[in-house]
Amino acid sequence: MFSRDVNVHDIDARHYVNLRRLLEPEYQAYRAGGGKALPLVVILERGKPIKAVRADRGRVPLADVRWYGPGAMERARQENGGAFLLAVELATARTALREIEERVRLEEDGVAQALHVARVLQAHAGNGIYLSPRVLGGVPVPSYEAVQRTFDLLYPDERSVVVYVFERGEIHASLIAAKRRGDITEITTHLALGG
Amino acid sequence: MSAPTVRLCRSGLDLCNGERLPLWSGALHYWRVRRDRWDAALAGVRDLGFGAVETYVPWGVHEVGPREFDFGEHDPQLDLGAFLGAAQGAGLKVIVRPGPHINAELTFLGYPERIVADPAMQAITARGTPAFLPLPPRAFPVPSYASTRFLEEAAGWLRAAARVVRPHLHPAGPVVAVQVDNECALFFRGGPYDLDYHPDAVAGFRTFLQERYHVVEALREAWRQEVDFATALPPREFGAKAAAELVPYLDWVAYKERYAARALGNLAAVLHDEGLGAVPLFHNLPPQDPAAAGLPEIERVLDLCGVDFHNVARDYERIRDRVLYLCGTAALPYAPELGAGAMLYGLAVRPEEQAQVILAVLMHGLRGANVYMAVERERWYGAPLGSDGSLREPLGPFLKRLGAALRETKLFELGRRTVIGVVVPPVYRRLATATQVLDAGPPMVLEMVNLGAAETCREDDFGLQGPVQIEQAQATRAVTRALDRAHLPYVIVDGAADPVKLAHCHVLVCPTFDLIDRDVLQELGYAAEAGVPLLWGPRRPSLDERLLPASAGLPGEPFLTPALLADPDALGAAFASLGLERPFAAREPEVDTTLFEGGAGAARVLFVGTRSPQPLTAHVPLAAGTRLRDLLGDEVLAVAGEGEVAVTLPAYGVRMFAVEAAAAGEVPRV
Repeated sequence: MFSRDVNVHDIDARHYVNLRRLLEPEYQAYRAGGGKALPLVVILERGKPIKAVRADRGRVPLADVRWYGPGAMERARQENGGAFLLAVELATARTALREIEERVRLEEDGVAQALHVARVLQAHAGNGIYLSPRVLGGVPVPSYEAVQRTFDLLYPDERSVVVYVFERGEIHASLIAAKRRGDITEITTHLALGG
Repeated sequence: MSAPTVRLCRSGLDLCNGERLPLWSGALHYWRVRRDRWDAALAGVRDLGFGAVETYVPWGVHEVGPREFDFGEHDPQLDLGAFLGAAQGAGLKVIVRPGPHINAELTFLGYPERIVADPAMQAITARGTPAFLPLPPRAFPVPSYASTRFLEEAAGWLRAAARVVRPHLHPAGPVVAVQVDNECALFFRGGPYDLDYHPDAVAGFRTFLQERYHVVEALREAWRQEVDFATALPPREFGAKAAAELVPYLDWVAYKERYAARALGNLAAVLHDEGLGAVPLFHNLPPQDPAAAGLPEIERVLDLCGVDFHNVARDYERIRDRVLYLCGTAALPYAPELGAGAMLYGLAVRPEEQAQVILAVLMHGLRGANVYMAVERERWYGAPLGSDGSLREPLGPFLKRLGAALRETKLFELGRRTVIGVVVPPVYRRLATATQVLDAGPPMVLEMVNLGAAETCREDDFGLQGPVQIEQAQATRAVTRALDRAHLPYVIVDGAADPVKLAHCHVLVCPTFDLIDRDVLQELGYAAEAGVPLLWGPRRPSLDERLLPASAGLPGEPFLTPALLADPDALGAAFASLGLERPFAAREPEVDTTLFEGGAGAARVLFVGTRSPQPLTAHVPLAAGTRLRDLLGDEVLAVAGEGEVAVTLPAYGVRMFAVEAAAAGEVPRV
């Protein structure tokens, strides 16, 4: 889906940053001093919390962490505050890393590699990797072939996708992508058109 | 070894012909800029005020078949010699960075695919798997910098590149410095038990143990195990319960600080063989804790090791801490990459913010930088120049004004008085690293969300009086923040650095708990004997880095008491009572001022900056007859009599002023 030699050029800095802001509203709100608290990560060793950190806030004293076991993640998330709670058993993290690195291949497309990661994480979800809300649950991870076929149907070869976002008559963000032989081969912005 | 034709000096590079060149350069990738635009792009770099242009030389681009290279014989775009000639024609010196690793957002970070695909050259994780680096457009297994086979392949590439560069060395040509590899820090996978467990890395660990302990009895005493040098194994996960069991883990972390230095030393030897050692050879560490990546070790094999800064304005405090670390620890505080624009897959960076970052690093004492990128290129956005050399908003006009200010003030030739050295014994950070629970979390990524080693380590005390790996980091932070509030200039000295670094300090502050490294204890003892005030505490260390009884005690009584460390105002007042100079100290505690002086202590340049997330007005004392002229704008600040001036600052903002007499004559210090 992504050519290993994808040509990314003439990226208008303002357009690109504006686009990222549109795609990451929560993070941008946080950076601006608002938004919800960032995720709390609890590290477990044989079921017992040994470390808790909140992104950007640093270490959370273990005495301050509310933890009722993996069966009560939603309650723990609510009582600890924040939009997201992740708890990881140390031994599971090591196993998952090993499984990922055994499956990923150099010759694979980046999306195929990412799907391996998703499959491994999903296999351990609820069994050493606990999340609230349960974003890894429910939907099965599709095969790479199915993703590629869908991508090809939605976005045929030898075409370009052009995205412009306007605000008060001005171009706020732009992104142009070209596709060949199943892969995105070129990414640029309005700047490449002389803008 | 070639006789040097360029040497490092306090203000940058001494060209050994009576000329000194500030290390102020801009990056341009010749293979990514159309050859018919080289002259225009180089002219643009020169017109921004840079005296030098920097370029990577990409192995994976020049290699057209296994160990076959095209330097322009087939593709004129790859004519490195012609590019170096064009730079000389434009009146620019050149800094060359031939890798072997260059990153540059290239697929496989610039290595040929055959290198990363070869299992014999791949780094190996503690789990026995190849170590994949998940960077777009696709993850790939990283090479082992301990692998003899990899180092031989890299040597072959460096020899080929060096033969093109050598005729262009100063003084005949423009090349004045060469970087060896790039961000050599285990490819951002700095977890203690992640990698590298390649057989050659394990062999390197055993050699390291032999050099450290000399005799097997000393190894066994420290490890509390019946081991020997030929069979000792590196730990693959943390398992210590008591302090006495910590030493193998600490030794593995210390070895990993030396891992990069060993590889870089090998690669530098190749460049020396090829005659490139006539100019300074240096390295750049990634934007993460340079101590854990082994900066002091790297400076034992190269002339200089810098750190890259790819930050946003809100990183102000981290930027300050890092520059002060470089000021206190490195041969020259230098940024081989100072972000101007950004890659696409990191945090979205507004180039306007980067102007504040550039000013912040200069404010706190950086003595040189390579602005990366100066010229726009593929897989990058926000550079100050287009590939045709045209000026781009917002960084282009900013850097042009800054270049003029640097030329006018000769900033890099000025001095900054920093009489206090905050000494950090390495045993604490090594313990924090050895006890990481987020082992696979890249330190650089964790740092982006403000998680350092002391935030992500285990909280066990191992039978010591407390979790010293956390306590010591907290105490060091309390000390530096109190010095900031007291407006006292200081630097941070890594206890693993050359002891000569301590000689520059008139007061030493060393937060201590149960542990202290033998070398640090010895050097602090020498300094105290020489009459240098030594402020330590809250605990008197009783064990060394081998968890054996320390050979001596620190002199006197603790200065850094628990009560002082818990009270920032009281600690700041205690430091202020030392009676040290506080030039241009602002009224507001969250405002920093740094003064750069010319000969005879004449005030020349004053930076005013804030770590506040809100815009504010700072009040800076100013003597009668003195004025501050904004070097990047038009404002002139002065007072009628003795008093203070109001300096408006944006959030995390920095301003740069010339300190001038309203009438002719020298400027009094404040």
